[in-house]
Order: sequence, then C-alpha cells, then structure tokens
Amino acid sequence: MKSPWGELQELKGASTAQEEENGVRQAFSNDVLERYSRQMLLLRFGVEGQKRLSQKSVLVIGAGGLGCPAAMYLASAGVGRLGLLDRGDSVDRSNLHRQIGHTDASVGADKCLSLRDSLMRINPGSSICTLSTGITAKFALQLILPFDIVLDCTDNVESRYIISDACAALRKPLVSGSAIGFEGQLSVYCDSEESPCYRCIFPSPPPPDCVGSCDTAGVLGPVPGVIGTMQAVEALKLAAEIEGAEVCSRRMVLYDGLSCETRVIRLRSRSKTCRACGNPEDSSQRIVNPAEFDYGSFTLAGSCATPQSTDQGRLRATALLDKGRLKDALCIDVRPKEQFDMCSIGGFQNIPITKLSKELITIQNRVGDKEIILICRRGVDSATAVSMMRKAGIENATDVIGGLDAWRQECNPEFPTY
Amino acid sequence: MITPSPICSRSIHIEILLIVKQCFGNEVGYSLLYFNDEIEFCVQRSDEMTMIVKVLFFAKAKELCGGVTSSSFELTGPTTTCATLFFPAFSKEALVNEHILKRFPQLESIIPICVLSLNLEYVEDVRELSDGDEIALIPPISGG
Ligand SMILES: [Zn+2]
Repeated sequence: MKSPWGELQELKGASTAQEEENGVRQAFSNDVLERYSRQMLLLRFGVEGQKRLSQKSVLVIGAGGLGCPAAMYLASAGVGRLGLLDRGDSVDRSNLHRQIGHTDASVGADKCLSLRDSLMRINPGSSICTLSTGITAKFALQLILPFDIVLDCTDNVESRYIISDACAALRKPLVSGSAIGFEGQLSVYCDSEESPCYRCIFPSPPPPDCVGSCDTAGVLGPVPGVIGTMQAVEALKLAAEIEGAEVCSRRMVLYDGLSCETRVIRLRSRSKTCRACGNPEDSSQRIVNPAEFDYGSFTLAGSCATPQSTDQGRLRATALLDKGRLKDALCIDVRPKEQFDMCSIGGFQNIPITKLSKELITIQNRVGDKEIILICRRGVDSATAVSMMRKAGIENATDVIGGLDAWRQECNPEFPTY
Repeated sequence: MITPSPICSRSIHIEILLIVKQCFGNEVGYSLLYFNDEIEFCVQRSDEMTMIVKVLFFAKAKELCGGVTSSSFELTGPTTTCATLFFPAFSKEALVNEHILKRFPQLESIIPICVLSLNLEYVEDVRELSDGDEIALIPPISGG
C-alpha cells in the first residue's frame, strides 16, 4: 500500500561534515554548530549525539497541549525529520492557554499547519511533514512505519490503543504522555524486548464515563507542558542514543502539579498473554494489524451508557425566551460551580448534579406546584437530573434539549463559548 | 488456596515440627502448611497484629473520592515470618472489597482498570502486606 505520507525526503543529517577549509576543521557548518552548541557541549551528547539525532525521524501524534511543547523542543534540537499528525482540528481560542505552539492569530487554522509554522519560525532548517488526518486504525502501520520514534500526544482512549498496537506490531519505541486537571503520566513502551506496551499495562479500557477530557474537566496549562516536555527529553535520549541515559521504560512517572509530587512506579515486563505484543492463549485474540481490530466497540466495552432518552416532554432552548415562564419556574443549572461562575442564564440558580441528590428533599419542599427547569452545558447531565428527580417523586421537572450550547445557537449568540 | 497434600507422611511432618519448635521455641504458635506441593511453615504470634496500610488515589480515582489523595486502612491479621505464603485476608480482592470499596463505593467501576502498585512497584495481586505499606490505584489518564 502507498504510504499516506507520500514521498518522504531522505534524511540528510545536519549538513555533512565540512572538509578542512582555510586551515579550519569543523564538524558542522557555522550555523549548525552555533544553533546546537549548548547540547553538543554536553559530555554525553557531543557531535556524535547531534549526528545521530539528525539522522532520526520522530512522529508526534497530536498537536495539542502535549504535542506543542514536545514538537517545539524536538524541532529546536535538530531532529532529522519531524512528522506531525493531528485529526484536522482547527485552533480554538480555548486551546491557547496550554497549546503553546499556536497563537491568537492562528485561531481557526489547521492545528498541524499552525504548529508547523511555529516550528519553522524557531528552526527554519527543520524538516517537517504534516498530515491532518489523525491516527486511524486502517492506516496506523503505514503512518508509523517511516519513523524511528513515536510520541503519543493524543487526547483519547481509542487513539492510545491504536498507536500502542501499531508500535507493538512494528516494535517502534513509543513515548506516551497524558495530562488532565493537575495530573500527568509518562511512560516509554515497546523500546526493548522486555519493554511492555500500553496494552500490557492497561489491558482493558476505562469505562467511558470514567474518561475525562480537558474540554470538560479542565487542565492547568503547564501540566501538559511538563509532560510534553518530558516526552521530548525521552525522545531525545532515544534518538541521540545518549550514553548512560535510562529511558523511562518499564516505569511510569506520575506527576501531580497540585501537590508538586512525582512518583515513579516500576512497571511489569512485557506480558506473555498481551493481545498486542504477546501470544494470547486464543491466537484469534492476537492483534497483528490495528486495521483488523474494532477499536470503537473495544473502547465502549463495559459502557453502561443509558439509552438516549427521548426528547418527549423536554424543552427546546427557545422555550427559555418566555420570560414569564422562567419567572414562575424553579430554574436550576446543574453544571459544576466553576462553569456556572463563568457564565449562566439570569434567573438560574446553581445546584451541581453531584450535589443534587442531597438537595432533593429541600427542592421537593420548596417547589410546590411550580415547574422545574433544568439546564446544563449540552443537555446530558440535565436529562440525568430529571430522571433523578422523577425517581424521588418530583414529577414536574423538565430540561432543555442541547443545554446552553443550544441556547447559544438558537437564541442568544452572545452567550459565551468555553 | 492452602490444601493438605499427601506428599508429606505423618512421621516427616512431626520431624519438621520438631525442627521448627527448636528454632522458634514454645512462645509462638506455628503450623505446617502445604502450598503448591511444597511444604511451608508459618509462625504465628498468639496475638493478631494490626497494621496500617495507606492507599493512594490518582487521577479519576482521586476525583471520585472527592479529591482525597490518600486514605489509611487498618488491617488485622496474623504476623508471619514466612515470605511466600498467601494470606486470603490480605488478597487484592479482600483489600478492595472489604476495605477500599466499603469506604469508597464510588470506585467500583474504576478499580478493575487501575494499575495497582505496592510501594511503587506494579503488582497484579496483593499477597502480603506489612505495616506502613503504600498501595496506589492508578487509572489511565487519556487527556492531552
Ligand atoms: Zn503488550
């Protein structure tokens, strides 16, 4: 199959060693020597390390909070070729507090191209190839094959298994980072014979309701910065083959920014029965090529997703335009307090869904014959809240289809996005 | 887990017991156990020992516990000088079901996918615990 990357240029290295000229012998051109001098000064790095680095290719998957700092350090350090892969998202203003490779001017632009522009500004000599397709199971092997080292900087469970399975199949070192809230994790997989893959450590995916995202749970900007930067350190150790370096393999770094504590857990070695890098007893369970594995149903396994409630009896956002109805009703916004404090519709009071069960009796006593109108960000939690109330015997509760997103789209474009 | 096995005749059994008695004296209780066809002996103090084990919560596990980073549990069980014995009272299942989930039932759905570490070392199961041990529940983080 043709490579999705098309024709990739050969790695030239950081310009070949210069012949003696005017009585001067030098390893690299003046520009290269100056640019990378501070890392070449390092005892274990030196000219040889720089040469090895310039002959390696690194793939950064995800151009977000982890991918930005990782790619910026790798491009700055003079990696031979850098591949950037992102699923074609465009830069959103809410990304900028952590995705430091993008600028306010690039809001709306393709993330891969925006990041590439930043990298070229830092190091115009970089060799960067981009694909705005994201990692897909179908092309995972082909996408990863041309690279020596892979960085997982993605933000979702499915991609993490696809990338790990492909790296396990190709035995490519995988530098895996993740971050949310104040916490981050870092580990290097598949870099040696004994080294486990992601699936060896996490054979079953988390239930979908246990997976937070930075968009909903929030994240402190520098936390993915710390982890992405550590991913760059690991990738440089691997690429420059720094003498005496100990790669974070068979170990997992847990970073908690809130307590400023770091723990390093010693991990197991490669699992003999791993579906991706071992030999499971039932050989049909073996994942040889991610293209043949159904990641969608795998990551949904264990899901206790409630069937989508019908929209019967629920309100369209436009119903909120009826000021009189709002005035007569008990209006409750069930989002977390942090979100409610950022913006809300006048007349709504905040009872976060996590606190709702404790408040049910108070509500029941207070509401009388009044209608209860519930709202949340997207109309999922509010529906759950309605059913909680029904179970508690509060019948006259309803909620807004699509939540505040629908309110913004259908009624009030001035309502903030976040 | 520990089943009597016919590999050891009565006379050998008594002989081993005598050796154990010479080593440890009469102050302690002891018994011979058979485990995976190997003879092991266990020396028990007459009093049961109470130990404190600290459980650390990370990422989603911490969030589900309302931001609690760690919680200490008091476990009671026999002390032992034998390093390879399996104590059902301290198995992972017992620790999780009888202690952690009793205090934090909201962790039920996430515990099966957590990496479990004992004193910073990955473990598949918990076989024995000592006073002051630190167990961590580490769910994967996916965000980036
Ligand atoms: Zn594996």
